[in-house]
Amino acid sequence: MVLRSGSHLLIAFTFFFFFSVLFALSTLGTETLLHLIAPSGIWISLLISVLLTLNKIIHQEFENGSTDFYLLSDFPLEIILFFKTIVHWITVAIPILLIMPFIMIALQIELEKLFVLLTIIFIGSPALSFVGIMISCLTLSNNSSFLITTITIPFYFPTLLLGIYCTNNTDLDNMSLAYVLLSLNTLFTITISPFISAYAVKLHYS
Amino acid sequence: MNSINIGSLDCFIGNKTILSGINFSANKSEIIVITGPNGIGKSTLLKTILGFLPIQRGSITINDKDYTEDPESRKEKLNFVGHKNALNENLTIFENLRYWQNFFSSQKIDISRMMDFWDLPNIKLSACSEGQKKKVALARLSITGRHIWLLDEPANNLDLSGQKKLVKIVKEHQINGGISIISTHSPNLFKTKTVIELSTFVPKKKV
Repeated sequence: MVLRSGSHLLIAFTFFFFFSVLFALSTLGTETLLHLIAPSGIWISLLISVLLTLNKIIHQEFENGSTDFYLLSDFPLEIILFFKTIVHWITVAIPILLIMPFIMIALQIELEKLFVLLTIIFIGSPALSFVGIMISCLTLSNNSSFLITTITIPFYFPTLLLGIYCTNNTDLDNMSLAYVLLSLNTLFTITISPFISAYAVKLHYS
Repeated sequence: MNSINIGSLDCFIGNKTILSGINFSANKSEIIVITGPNGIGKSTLLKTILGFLPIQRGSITINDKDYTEDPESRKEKLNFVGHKNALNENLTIFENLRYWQNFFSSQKIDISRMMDFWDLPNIKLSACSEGQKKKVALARLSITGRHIWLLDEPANNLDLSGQKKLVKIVKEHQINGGISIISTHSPNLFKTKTVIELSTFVPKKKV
């Protein structure tokens, strides 16, 4: 698979950075408030970064006719979409993981939690990409895209809620269940997403 | 042994039948030209054969095997150049061709040789003209190694030397035993006897 060059990476990266910093600034440095909302801030900016870039990839390729050739190619569409999502996740999530220490300073989270926080985002974020690709594929036909986007937003909830819960409770010892649930959620999404996405694309052609 | 057989095929857009009872077959080394006025359904016919539009009546047989009910496997036998070039604007011409070569594993053909043939500079695709993009799309035909080509108005945007090269690769493909089904407004370009005029397949309007 070829890594796609382009400006969308920069968009996601800067967006995440500024959104998180704005989140911190909006509390005017009130420490208790910041502690309450920081985890949600991280996850929501992560979600929007993913959403901003993913839709563009799938819809662009559909518009320029690449999807036709994916269907003609020697590989099943499921596998192509799976790798596309993996590449998207690597290019969006890894830069975000790298700037996490700075974000944590902005959000006044103790740096000792860095490793735990990175692990949580590492486990949770693939689910966002894989859910996102399903939604993009479902919205290929433009006439009902707003409706479908609205309907499918709840699919992000399990990831977001578990992610925020985990991030909120990094200092608890008995966190194992939430971690397991977050991992299971990601695994489940990775398993079903390529099939549903490919089915949605094929449905669009028939 | 390459062959494709279209038996009394109907083409639809939505629920409307636009072409009815299309019959033709092509064997090894044959060029079929499809012609007709704008909007008659040339692209629709090619898309139906490709499996991008559903078949409600008729049959498609490739290499003596019936693929009517199996658009998935049918797609793996065919190659296509359409109105959309399916190329990434952010990559160079070479990267675009290499990208697509990864998806068609059957045969590895030297990309730089194809680029020399089409006289393509190795620049970013966003700096290319429409004609150059068309040439890249046509160069992709040769690197995929499929035997049946469906070309939807391939001569569009091409200059004279480009058209000559197009005819040359179609002829080369013919010599190698391949089949080309070409929709075009200039049927004389390809010097073939099999010309299908689509306006004879338009269903009569019910009163």
